[in-house]
Amino acid sequence: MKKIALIDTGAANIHSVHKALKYVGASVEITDNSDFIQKADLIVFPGVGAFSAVMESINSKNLKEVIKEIIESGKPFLGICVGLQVLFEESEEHGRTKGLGILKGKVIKFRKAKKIPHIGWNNVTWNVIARSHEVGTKQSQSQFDLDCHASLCSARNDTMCQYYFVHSYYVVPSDKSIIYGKTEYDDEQFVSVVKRDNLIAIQFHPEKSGEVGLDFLKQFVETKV
Amino acid sequence: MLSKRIIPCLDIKDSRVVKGTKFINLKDAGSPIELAKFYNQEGADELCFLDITASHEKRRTLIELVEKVAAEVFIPFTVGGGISEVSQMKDILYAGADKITINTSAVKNPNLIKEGAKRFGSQCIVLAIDAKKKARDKRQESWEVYVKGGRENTGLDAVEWAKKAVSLGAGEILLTSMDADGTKEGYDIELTKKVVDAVNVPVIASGGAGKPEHIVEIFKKSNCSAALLASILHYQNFSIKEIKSQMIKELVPVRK
Repeated sequence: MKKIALIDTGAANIHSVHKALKYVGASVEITDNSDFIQKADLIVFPGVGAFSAVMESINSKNLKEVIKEIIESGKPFLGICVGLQVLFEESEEHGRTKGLGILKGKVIKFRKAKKIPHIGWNNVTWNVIARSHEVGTKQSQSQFDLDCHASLCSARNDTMCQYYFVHSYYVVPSDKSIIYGKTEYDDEQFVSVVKRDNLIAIQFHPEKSGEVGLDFLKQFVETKV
Repeated sequence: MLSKRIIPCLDIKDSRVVKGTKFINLKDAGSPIELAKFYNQEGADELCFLDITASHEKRRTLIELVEKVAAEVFIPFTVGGGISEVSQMKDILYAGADKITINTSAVKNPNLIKEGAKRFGSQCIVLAIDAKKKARDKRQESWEVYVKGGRENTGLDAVEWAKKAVSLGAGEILLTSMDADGTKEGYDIELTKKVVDAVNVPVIASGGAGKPEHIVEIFKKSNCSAALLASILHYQNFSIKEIKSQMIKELVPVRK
């Protein structure tokens, strides 16, 4: 059975992510142990709350290098919320906070929104060409099958495929080719999904997005390794 | 587009749901987990559990309950009732809750908002305000904050308290109108508007919903982000589906 390492950065939502992954049938362990992370087949990197708190935790636990290595190794890697944001170079939070710099770009605060945080259920406009395969069929490829999840969503009614968001900042990638999904809030459009090879990172919380979120996590868990 | 949220609120006593369970056709309608699943299937966008257990010894069972809900229902949920320390917040959040709601304890010790927000992020801290309109002889309309389940008037102005709480780090305001609560005649639109316009965080309106039209009305007349529902779901014949179809009909953004 595939082993998933759920990286412990002290985020308050780690147990929710743990429970959701278990629910979709994964063998998953919460860990901050570099060896364990390196031996795992898939890696999930959750986060919620403050960018700086997650970075402090990564630094104090010496996890920076192992996260970089594991992403380079080609293993499926899923970043959630602040786990997406810290992959970038820096955040506007508290003036300026340095991130991991694995992806080029920065993290900025909502500019136009009247109510911050952006809390609740919102759509993702998927920037993938839905393939002709049947929705829900198993894919035989080594990457997370985003297309399959996206086409499942487009097969449903637009507003039936909403995800739960809770955040005040969003990512602005320099490399536009990694943008796989966008979301609109109060006339402000932001990047909610990025993907580069084995790395996928999302602003929404699949562990709290009901059926749709569980489907997303299931797709990730079933990634061939 | 961001949907307006519908949040059923369940009162919990000694790990059982009290109020309104006999109207729901479930094997064990007093089970918070059964009801959470039921409301999730019905289309609830979030859930709120209010623990009205008096004794501290029963706290452990609340944590166990939170763990069970989190293992089976994958939508956000808030837990409140008698939380007065950051360590209690931690236990509940780590058990799988997404947010903590505080009321009396925050009035007593506003620093609790700050400490909680610093530790877990503002998105975890929901400030609940029970507000009641001041006597009529005043020129301006204003509302006062009540605590201890509405029994004690603090003399605080509701709008000012909401602003202060947000400046301390509250990420959402759960606003209950004590005047409207239980009337089933609709929300207190004036109060809701005042608070919504005064703060830059989402406001959850509560108190007074008697029919789906009231929920549509509060979303249309104020810019509130969510509606908390109790008796309309527990005691009356309106389902979340009916409420949401009314919202769709009236073009209120909703998650289907």
